Amino acid sequence: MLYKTTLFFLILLFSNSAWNQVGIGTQNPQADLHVAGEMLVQENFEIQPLPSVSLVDEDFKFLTRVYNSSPAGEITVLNVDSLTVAPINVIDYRFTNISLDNLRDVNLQYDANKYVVGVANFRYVGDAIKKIPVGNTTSIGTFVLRTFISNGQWHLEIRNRDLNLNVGDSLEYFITLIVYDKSYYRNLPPITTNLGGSNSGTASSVPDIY
Amino acid sequence: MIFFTSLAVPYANKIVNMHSYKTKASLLVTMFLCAATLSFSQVGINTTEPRKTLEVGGDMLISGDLDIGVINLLNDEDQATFIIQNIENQIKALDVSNPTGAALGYIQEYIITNARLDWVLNFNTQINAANFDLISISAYYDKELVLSSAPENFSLPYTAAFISNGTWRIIADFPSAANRDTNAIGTWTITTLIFSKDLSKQLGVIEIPMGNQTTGSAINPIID
Repeated sequence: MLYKTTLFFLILLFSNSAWNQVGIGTQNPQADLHVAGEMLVQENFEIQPLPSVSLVDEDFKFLTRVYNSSPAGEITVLNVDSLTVAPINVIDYRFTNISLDNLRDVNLQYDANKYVVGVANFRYVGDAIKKIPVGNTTSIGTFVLRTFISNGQWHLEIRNRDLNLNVGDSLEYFITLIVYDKSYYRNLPPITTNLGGSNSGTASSVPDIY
Repeated sequence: MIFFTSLAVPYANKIVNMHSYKTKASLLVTMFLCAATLSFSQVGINTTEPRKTLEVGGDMLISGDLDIGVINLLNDEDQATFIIQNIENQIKALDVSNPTGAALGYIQEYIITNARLDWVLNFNTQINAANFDLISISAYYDKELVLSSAPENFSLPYTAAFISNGTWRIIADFPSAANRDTNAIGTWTITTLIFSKDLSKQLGVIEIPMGNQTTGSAINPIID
């Protein structure tokens, strides 16, 4: 009887009562709820608007959620110094002893399933590719600088497809590759648009972005 | 202050399992009624088998601050994504693997064919400039070019993104040059990087008159 009464009171208390402070794993709670240990929330997590990062929070770190932890969802902190691959990786390349001006296909070996590789900071250092006469004008050929995917890996092409450096001349290429981790960045499908001979027009579609 | 070693609440507001209290029940009730603080060693809410010090088998709402004492470093073998707070105050993950989920940034390739020879003056991506920043990171044109007016001319190609009427546009050209074969249909392939304005700032245009000098200085750094 006494047990039932106690249970009734306990239910009543847990149903309707509120404590000022609750400690879990501690007898000395330092906040309204103090969990001295780990916490797992299975479903939605909502908190009052988090205060903004300000100028005084210079050394802040991004928070990440790990989806291959056990159980999934461990909150971790992203410190690029402790990672081999950061969300954005910037790598300078220098190409020397090139066959004339032609880098036809260089396998950069970055896995296209994991990364998006963009090219920036292009510099051409060395002898000039000579124009060639065509009728009463001159051709400057087709100079191409691009990264592309082949057999699941990123490749690089830098060359003038139509013209060549004169034999005996030489040049070097400098580029910066920007390697984006696809865990954070998305490579959208290309958008192809036919401008019908006009120099202005509108993209055939708008990418699905947020 | 009241201390329990274990508490599990499998259904909201109903106690089913409570261990390790030896205090007399009447005294306990009195203590409960007076208690301002309460402590447990392990608690499950909506679960009978908490796997952590506190496991909430459902939603959680925090009306105050949240401080986390220990956050482990992300390791190479971890598969992870950033977490954000949305306008409804929910904490969410940027799920890039989900094709309709948001990403930190987007790489979009534009393939523009059949322009006026090599000249793209104003290509409207329709991407809203109020919400996004768009940058052209690399571009190439695939047809042989000849210098159009005078053979001794020089041509420095450019591709750039600019804003007009609230959307991002692309301009691309080899000035003073055009397709050698005027019937050839050329293609510009332009790779762009798109950032949400939640992540990046568009700081506008800084004009620097050089006063006919070859060296100079910006008035102020934009970011210090």
